[in-house]
Amino acid sequence: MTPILRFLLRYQKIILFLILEIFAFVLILNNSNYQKTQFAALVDNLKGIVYEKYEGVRQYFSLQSENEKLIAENLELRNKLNYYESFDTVRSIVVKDLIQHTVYTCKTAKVIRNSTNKRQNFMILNIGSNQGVRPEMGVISNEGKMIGMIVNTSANYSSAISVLNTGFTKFSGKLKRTGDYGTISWNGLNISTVQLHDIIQQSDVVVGDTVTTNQHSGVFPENILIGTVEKINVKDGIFYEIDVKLSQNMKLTQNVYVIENHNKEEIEALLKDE
Amino acid sequence: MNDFVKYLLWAVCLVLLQEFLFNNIQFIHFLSPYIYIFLIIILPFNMHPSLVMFVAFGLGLSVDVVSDGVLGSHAAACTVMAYCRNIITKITMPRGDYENTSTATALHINLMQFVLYSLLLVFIHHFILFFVEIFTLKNFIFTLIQIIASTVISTIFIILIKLLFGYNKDA
Repeated sequence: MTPILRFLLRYQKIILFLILEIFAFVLILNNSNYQKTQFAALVDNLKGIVYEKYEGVRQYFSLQSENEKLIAENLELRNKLNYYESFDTVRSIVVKDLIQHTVYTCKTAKVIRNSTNKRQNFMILNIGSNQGVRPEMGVISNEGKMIGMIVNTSANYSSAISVLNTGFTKFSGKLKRTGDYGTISWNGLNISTVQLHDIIQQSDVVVGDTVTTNQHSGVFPENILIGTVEKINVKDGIFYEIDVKLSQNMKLTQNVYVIENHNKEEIEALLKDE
Repeated sequence: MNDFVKYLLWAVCLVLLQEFLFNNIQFIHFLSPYIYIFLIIILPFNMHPSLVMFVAFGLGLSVDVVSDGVLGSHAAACTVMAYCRNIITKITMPRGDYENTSTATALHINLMQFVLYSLLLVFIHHFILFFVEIFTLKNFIFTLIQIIASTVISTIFIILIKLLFGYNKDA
């Protein structure tokens, strides 16, 4: 017994070091993709309370620019309203009917925590499951540009994965002009650029083309703006890797919309039966 | 004050300061200072290495839990840092003049030694932290520049904290 004890005592530092490191790496690998979503519900609630106070103070200082943005948005909506009101009665009924049976609805939310300085960036929003938010809902900015997706919710807060997240490649995007679609991911180098993959080299994409969402995943409606093509890189002979300049400044997102797809369960049920 | 309570208070303050103040400071978009490792730097020199590693691991894990990063990355980096502490002590203070008193900490050594000592330890911590977070050797040079720049910024803040709070009654 003593030789073993003596051995353990002699090398206790290195043994302890290895044990702790193995434990840390087990944690890292088990959480590499949707890290800490298990913890998230608990911690987010506590952090949410603190950050809401913090943001309350911070937003006070940006009231003016927020006001200007809201005025611009109001103007745009008013113009759209005028457009619809200009139709005759028969057609306006059709429009109303369409609105009632609409597939996507929006909820407004405020970003109370947003990181851009990590490889895996998240946002925390001030609405949660009590307000009807569920994982896999899309998040767009108040200027109508795609910025992320809800991954976890607590009672009154929810955390959303930002498009600036190297561990996440579920966002899909398409080239608006040609209709080619691929996956959006981020290489972690520049916070104003993301990458669009899986576009075959036969497609006639040019710099300046618009990149929007497509509705294959059911998270976003069709044609929500993501950005514009900035640079086209040739990758392994078949596909392009396209640098997309984000239209939304990810550091300046405060007011956002959470998008709910009312037909998502139905679509997923169909996919499961296949 | 009891030493245990003193260091526990330091730990709580540093973790809260890290999350609610320093995690919100971004110089260029990914240069954030990490100051919570100040605790590992100022633990007494004669503290048992295994105990230092336990403390470092616990500290790193608490920062992991409260911040949104890869869970376990801070714990891994802090453990490596604690493991290297003895070696760094020997390099920066070769004559061992710190061993005179049983409670000597890095707060008692002179400023030049402290700067060198923390710079090396912070670099080790940041090196592990950044590479664990990226988990690839692609863009190695870019990451290295990022690590060095962050190390400098973190060390500046750590020195500021030492200058602000480091003057003990026996210093």
